[in-house]
Amino acid sequence: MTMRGALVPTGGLAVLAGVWEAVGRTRAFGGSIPSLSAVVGAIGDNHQLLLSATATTAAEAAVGGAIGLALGVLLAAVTAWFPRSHGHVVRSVVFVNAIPVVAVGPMLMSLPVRPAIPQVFAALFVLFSTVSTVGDGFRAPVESGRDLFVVLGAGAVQRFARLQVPAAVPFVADALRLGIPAALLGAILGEWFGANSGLGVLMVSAMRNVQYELLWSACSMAVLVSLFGYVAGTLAERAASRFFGRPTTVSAAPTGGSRLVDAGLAVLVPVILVACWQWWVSAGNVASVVAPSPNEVANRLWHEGGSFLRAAGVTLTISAAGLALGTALGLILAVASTLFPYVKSFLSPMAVLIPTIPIAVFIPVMGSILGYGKGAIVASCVLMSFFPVFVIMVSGLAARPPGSDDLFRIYGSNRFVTLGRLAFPSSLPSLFLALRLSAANCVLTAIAAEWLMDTGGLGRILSDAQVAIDNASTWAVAVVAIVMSVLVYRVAVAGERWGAARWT
Amino acid sequence: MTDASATTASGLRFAAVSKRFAGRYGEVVALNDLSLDVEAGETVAVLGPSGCGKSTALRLAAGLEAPDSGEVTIDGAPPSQLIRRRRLGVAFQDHALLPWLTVRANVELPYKLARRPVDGRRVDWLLKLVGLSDFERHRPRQLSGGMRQRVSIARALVLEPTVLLLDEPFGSLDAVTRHRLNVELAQILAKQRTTTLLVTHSVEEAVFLGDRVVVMTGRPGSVKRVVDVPFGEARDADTQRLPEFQSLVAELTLMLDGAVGAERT
Repeated sequence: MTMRGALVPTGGLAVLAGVWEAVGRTRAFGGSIPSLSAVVGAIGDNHQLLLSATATTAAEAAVGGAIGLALGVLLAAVTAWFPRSHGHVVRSVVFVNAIPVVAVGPMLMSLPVRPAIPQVFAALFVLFSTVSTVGDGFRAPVESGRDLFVVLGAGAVQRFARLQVPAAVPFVADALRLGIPAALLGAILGEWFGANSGLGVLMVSAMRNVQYELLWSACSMAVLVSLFGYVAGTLAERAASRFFGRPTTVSAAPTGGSRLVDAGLAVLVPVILVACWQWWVSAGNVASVVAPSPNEVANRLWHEGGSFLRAAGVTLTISAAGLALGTALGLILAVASTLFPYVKSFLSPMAVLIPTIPIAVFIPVMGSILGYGKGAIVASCVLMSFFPVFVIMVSGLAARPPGSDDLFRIYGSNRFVTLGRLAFPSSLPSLFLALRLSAANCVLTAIAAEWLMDTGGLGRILSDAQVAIDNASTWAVAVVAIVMSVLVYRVAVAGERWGAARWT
Repeated sequence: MTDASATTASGLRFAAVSKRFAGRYGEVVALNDLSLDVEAGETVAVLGPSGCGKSTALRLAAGLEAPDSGEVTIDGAPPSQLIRRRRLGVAFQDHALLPWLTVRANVELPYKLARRPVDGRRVDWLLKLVGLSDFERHRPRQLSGGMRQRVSIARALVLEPTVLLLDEPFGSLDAVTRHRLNVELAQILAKQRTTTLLVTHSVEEAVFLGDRVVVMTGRPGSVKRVVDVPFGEARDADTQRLPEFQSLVAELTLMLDGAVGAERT
């Protein structure tokens, strides 16, 4: 990057820091946004507390993330060995990913796994991206590489060890890069449910005790650790890609696996799980304080289903509002970046920082700025959905059919016409992709925020049931939340498919 | 070890081979009733416009595809037998080098896959033959396109194949480099006398390297003409300046044009 080229992005960061400092100094939000210098000062004052909390959270994220990464690589290897299993494995992992972990959190709180909730969440958050990224990696060797191994008479073991594994290394590094912020996010969310120390615990207690400087310094530490890990992961990925080579195209995933087997699994696995659960509760005489029986949960669903559904409606409305506002904001900024190169380089540091930030840290911040209400929950959802839409749409608007830009220039079209007739239509599949990625996360964020602030829909019921030690309600609401999230995800996937079919 | 007597030559035979592919808009007949004999020790160049099925023919000979009807045999046995005996050498159009291995390790790969001890002296000899002795510690990304193709040819030759398949080995190179590598390849082929099937769309390349040139027509692919090339074994850069060479190239170019024309009507 030239000096001139670096000037505007650096200016963007400087302006951002300046605005932050000014807002803090003028106490524009009643002191809920402390100035940059105050946060730096607070980090200095509380460095012992912050460092030990950061070490705790980082250790949880590392252990859980490593487990999730290993499990993901293992599952990806299974799909590489048995291509027919690919469809089932990926669909199962997608299903698990659509489950809002924050709804599972309260269920786990009364169980013996409670101390490990941060690690469990970190592993779950890393698993999904690892399976899809590394699965691509095992399929990365170009066709002629596979042909070569056939012609040289190599067996499946040799092909796996000498061709597929080396080719997948850069993809494992990529999964690591993507997994570091995800593992931190999981660990922090997990700490809200079951830990005694760590950055997540510090954030919640600082939010509840109105210690704005401490809250912001804890968030800053989380962002710094995440950024550090992301940079390290990016360097690892670069080195691996340089050494092992990384193809630009990957052969398409096998589409095998019958829908019938899927449908069978979708019915059989829950039935077996519920049967095991019933057996465990009745045979082990587990107290209902630890875990309710399926019967109790079904009973609760039957009697209080109406109020659960109303709460689900509230959560869904909040998430939809947040998603709509966030998408609109992301879209406006992405379009502005495309039309005005100045805006683009001004915002470019943000586009780089965004994927590294565990968004959950903003939930307590929003709560402290906007008060514990629906506004803060909507704002959290806006932040959650705005980031992916902005980042994906900036690249979506830039990726146009080859040669089409020249075509439009030859016919004397100006940049607004080019945007309207070329860039925007060709980027619509990206928009649907961003919506699919954001939709389920918005629901997750909404439930997490409701739980934390004890207001709104499903999250509030979870929080109230927790206080009342009403485990049957907790589990019943978790079931409602899981069904709702999976439905939202299915709708988003259908929307993405429709968009891709219509505009590509 | 390095002379021709060590390789037992064998012939490659296509007997009334047909191959169809399921395309996007229905079935595409890639090859229709293709019959062709490559005698032991002979180099046959298959020449044709793109999409005439010449690469499909090569993939059938390599055992990467199976014919729908007819038979592809090498010394009377299917290609899979030759693969099992590790006596098939292939140089792919896009070189197919493994980016994480050095030049030397790429050439040694066939030994590793055959679970045989590496013959270091043969690898040395081949690297010298393709002029890459000074680059054996380099990785493919540090080499030019022409050097990568030469590594690919050295790898194809390392296990002393009885049949060598070359799929547009210099297709992606500029004309000057291509010409130079063809002169080198002609010398290598003259030394090895391996049964060779070369697929190309360059008339000069086909005439320069082939003992016989097979002209194919497209859609569906079948043999249009077989032409003997009279320049003997020892060919060098001067061969290409012979008037006979030029007139044969002109004749085949016209024939190829006719093949394209026939396809249009």
